[in-house]
This record gives sequence, structure tokens and C-alpha cells, in this order.
Amino acid sequence: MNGNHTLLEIRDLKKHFPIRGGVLSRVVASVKAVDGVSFAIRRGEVLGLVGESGSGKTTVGRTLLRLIEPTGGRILFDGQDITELPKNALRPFRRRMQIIFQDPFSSLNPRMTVGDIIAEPLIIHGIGKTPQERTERVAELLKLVGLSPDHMRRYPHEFSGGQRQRIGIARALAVAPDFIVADEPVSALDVSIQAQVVNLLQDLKEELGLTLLFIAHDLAVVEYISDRVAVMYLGKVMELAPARELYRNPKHPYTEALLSAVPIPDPTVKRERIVLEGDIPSPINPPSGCVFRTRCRYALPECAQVVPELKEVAPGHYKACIRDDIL
Amino acid sequence: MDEKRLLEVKDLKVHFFTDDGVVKAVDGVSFHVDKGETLAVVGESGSGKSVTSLAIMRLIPTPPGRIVGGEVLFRGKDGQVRDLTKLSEAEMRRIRGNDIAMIFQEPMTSLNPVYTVGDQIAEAIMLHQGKSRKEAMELAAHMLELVGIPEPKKRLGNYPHQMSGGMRQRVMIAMALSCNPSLLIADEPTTALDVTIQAQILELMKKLQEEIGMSILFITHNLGVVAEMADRVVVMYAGRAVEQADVVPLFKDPLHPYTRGLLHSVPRLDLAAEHKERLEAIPGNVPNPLYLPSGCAFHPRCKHYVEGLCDREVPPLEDTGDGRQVRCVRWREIREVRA
Repeated sequence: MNGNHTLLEIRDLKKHFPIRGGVLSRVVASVKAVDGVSFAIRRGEVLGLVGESGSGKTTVGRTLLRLIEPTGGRILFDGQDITELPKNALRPFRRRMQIIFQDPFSSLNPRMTVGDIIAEPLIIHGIGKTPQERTERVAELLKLVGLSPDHMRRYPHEFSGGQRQRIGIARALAVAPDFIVADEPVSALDVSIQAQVVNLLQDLKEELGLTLLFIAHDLAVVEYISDRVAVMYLGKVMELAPARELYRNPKHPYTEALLSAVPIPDPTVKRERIVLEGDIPSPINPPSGCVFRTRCRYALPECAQVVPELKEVAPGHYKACIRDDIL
Repeated sequence: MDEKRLLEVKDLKVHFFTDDGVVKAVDGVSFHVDKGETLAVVGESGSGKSVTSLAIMRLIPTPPGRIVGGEVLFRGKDGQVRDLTKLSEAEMRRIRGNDIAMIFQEPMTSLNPVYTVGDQIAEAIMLHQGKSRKEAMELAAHMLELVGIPEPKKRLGNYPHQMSGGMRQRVMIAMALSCNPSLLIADEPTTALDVTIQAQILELMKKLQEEIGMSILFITHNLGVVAEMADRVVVMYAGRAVEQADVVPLFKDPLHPYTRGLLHSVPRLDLAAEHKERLEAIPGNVPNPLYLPSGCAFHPRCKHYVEGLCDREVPPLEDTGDGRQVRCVRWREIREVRA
């Protein structure tokens, strides 16, 4: 999958958080938040990454930006391995990779004006030599995200949740990045505002040719914006396919159950629902073999023996499940 | 009050007196819940849906909040109808838990972290039903079994932090139902849960409602959950009910522009892909409750807004003649144009 068109690729990415215990604070166990995830994102593509809490989707996003250091695996950005680049060598890449956070309330510094918040990355990366140039750029960015240049002198608390998320997007766009990780960018917003922000991201993607990793737990939102979708469970990718294909024709039992659990806003639609028993197991001690087998209605004894590989079952459609006789 | 009515809220007003001014969180809301029925109250943040439910339970923090008007008529287990806004604190305590129980969004913050779940469920049973500790513990174990918690006897000794979010919400439901309430108020009970766990909890609530026959007042912002759970729906915006209807007609033929906008802005999994080009967003922002727009509070965001008509007076909640209510002066025209 590593042609000229690939902008970002991760190979067997792992992030294990150590758990320390005892008087000597020795490592007694580890949380396998991300445990061998591989995918590639093409230039101009939106890859949706969905999963429930504890699936490791947020950790994938942060690890591939090297906001947290990976335990194993490789990260390739625009053909270059950035997994072990030292801080100063990483800086030019940081300019090209940005992030939008979930919570528009805690991700903006309340003591800075909106203008200063958006101008900060410009100063850090030495874009816009004079304050005047920077102010012009900030005004341009505010217009781009549907706010007014007059908002520059105001503080974050003067804005609603949706407007703050727009400010966060403007900040991410300030340095004209190629790639953005959007980590649950709409889940803290009201329904009527969610749609505004999803549409804005879609427009910006078209206009600026952005490449996005769109992380969310809301499957319906992800479908609207993504070209392809990866489904995670307990630190692993269960299924990866073109968006339409994944939603219409899920091949993995977990995806099937996840889709059937989403309530449909139409009281006349009656569906068969697959209710998964129990909770997501602990990532400290995940089940052997397939991590989903403890909740899977198709599980066989073999599922406990082998860790299923993510393999191609139809063109561009990958699943990690040993059962080819279902779905 | 009609024989089948369990709860009737009439022109309820709850205002918060803050340093910045008076916030009219709930400003003249009326609705009813019949026996065995599920009524969903839908709205976004600031709509007043949660304040309404807290006011029914008389749990509004005073000061700064106060019920400044209206009635909350409730038929107790004894058959007597009382106005809950006029009861003494002691009388209200007998209603809470016994007649009306409530579950909240965040099960972690509504459980006491230093007591076992068994102690917490048993406490409610001892308090309201005058049972001994031993009897109460047995009933508590039975309740945990009823809500689908495996090894209920063992789980009685667990602390809340030893359980997952879904399990804690089951404990909350067990506690709420332990005294056989006739009304369960569920305030965003699945919002903090993952979608597969949400599915479990919704199934559980439906099953228990069938078995016990209680009524549910379901507060939520999630229209998918409404479609699944509700018999009837009240849509709230900026402290007022803007539409009320049975669930099927509401989704099929929403009359208020806000309801319509809300339904269209939700991304849907079940529609064919060709319809999925773009979401129809409602422009603008949810208004600041301190400075509500004049007239219809939705008018600055409404595409049917007419100057001089919508921004003068608050439109009345009109009966449409087919058992529905809508608060919009233009609803007839809008409906005709669409038909």
C-alpha cells in the first residue's frame, strides 16, 4: 500500500502503557492500548477510525503524531520514517501534521485571545514575519472557518461550543498542514451544531486538499465524512473497508454488532438487533487469540488459539477474523 | 385529573436568579404522562429538559433556582392526586424513591464511592419499605439479578469503582426500581455509555417496563433513542415546549421548523448512500439563556422566519386538531407548502 499516493502509513504500531506497583515501582503489567495496528492513508483521503471507549483509537491518533512515543512499530510520513526522529528533526513534520481535539472547552487557553491562540503556531513555526502579516493570516483563517475577523480580540469563554470548535480548527489550519488528526471533533457538541462542524470539515477537505484521520465513536457521523473506515476493538483493527462497503456489507462480527446497536431515528424502522453480552475486557489482560471472541456469537474454540491476521477478503476490504463462512 | 393520567405538569416555570440576571430555564412547560407510557423530552443543551425533570422531583438547587409558577400534579400509589410543588420536604421525601425514582447520566457520580452497592440499594429499601437489613439485602440481590448482573450475591459487596459504566448504570436502575415506583425519570441514562452498552440498557429498560408496568419520563438529546423508546415526545427549545406528538407522526411529519431541522441534521445509518452528500445543519447557535431572542426563541435560526411576525410575541402552543401541539405561528402554511 506504499505507493506515491500514500501520505501516512503506520506498520504494526504498538503502545503499551506500563503499570507500576510495589515499593520499587517495578513494572508489573502493561495496558496494551494499541497492539499492532497497520494502515495507510492516501493523500486527500479521509480515514475514519471508530471504536468504543478503550479501543485505543485516540492513542493511535496521538502516537502517530508522536505526541506520545510508540512502544513498537513504524510511522512513515510522506515516505520518511519519523518513528525515531529527534525533536528538532521532527519539527518540520509537526508543521505538516496537526490535531483537533474533542473538548472545545479545555483545549483553548482561557487567558489568550482568539487571535493569539490562532497566531501561536505561526510564531512557533516562523510563518508570517511581522505581527501585521500574522494578523492578516488569522483574519483569513477566521473567515475560512465561518467566524468573523472581529472575533480576534475576544476570549474563548465568549464563544459557544460549536464556535470554539471552529477556533480549534482554525488553529490547526494556521500552519497549512497536509494532514490532520480530528479526535472526536463533534462528540461534545449539540446535534444541530455537529452537522455544521462536519460540513465545515468536509468543505475544508475539498478546498484545501486535506488528508484526515477522523476518530469518533459515532458510526453515523464517520460515514458522512470518511472515504474508508477502520474499526478498532481492544487495541486492534478488526475491519477496514471503503466506507459504503463497510456499512452495507460488514464482514466482521464486531462491526455487525456495532452497526446494529446504533438506534435509528425512525420509529417505523424495526431491525433485528444483536445485543453484545458483557463489557469490553480489560486491555491489561486481553483474551487470547481473537480479542473479540468473548463477546462474539460466532466464536469457535479455535478463536482462542490464533490471533487472526487482518487479511483482504474483497478488494480493499480487510477483516481480522478466522471465520470466512459467516457474513 | 383524568383517570389514566399519572403526572400532569401545568405551565411550569423554573427561574434561576444569578448575578448576571434571571435565567428562565423552564418558562411555561405543560405535558402529561399516562400510566404505563413512555414520554420522551428531547432538546439540546439549555433547552430546560433536565431542569424540568429536577423540578418534578423538587431537586432544583435553591438558591439560585426556584419554581416560580405552575403545578406538578402526581397520582400517588394511594390514588390521591397531589401538587408536588406544594408538598413539604418531608412529604416529598416519601414520594421520592417510593413513587417516583430517578436515574442520571453519570452513574459514577450518583453512586457513593465509599459504600458497597449492596449497602446503597439496601439503604433505599430499608428507608422506604421499613424492611430489616437482612431482608433488604436479599431484595437487593434479587434486584441485581433482575437487571441482569451476573453473580448478584457476590456483586453486593462490590464498590462502584469495581464495576464498569454499564454495570453501574444497571445498579442505578436496580436501586431506582427497588421500591416499585410508578414513574421512572431517566435523565440521559445512556449518554455516557458506549453504543453496545447503550443497547443493553435500553433493552433492559423496555423489558422491565413491560414486567413492572411503570411509566417512564425519558430525557434525552438522542433522536435515535427517542424513536426506539418513546410513545410520545415533547420537543423543547430554550425553556419551552415547541412541539408535542406521538412518536410516529412526530418523526414522519414534524410540524415545528426546529423539530424538522433537528431530524434533518442527524446523520443516519439507515439511509441509502446517495442521500448522504451533506448534512442539513441548523445555522447559528443555541441562544444564551440570559439573552433569549424576542418572540419565538428559534426565529434567528429559522428559515421560515418572517420579520414582524415571529419576533414580536411568543407564539402560543396550539392544538393542531389531531392530538398534537405546536408552538409556531406559521405551522399551517409550512405544512401546506410541504404537502
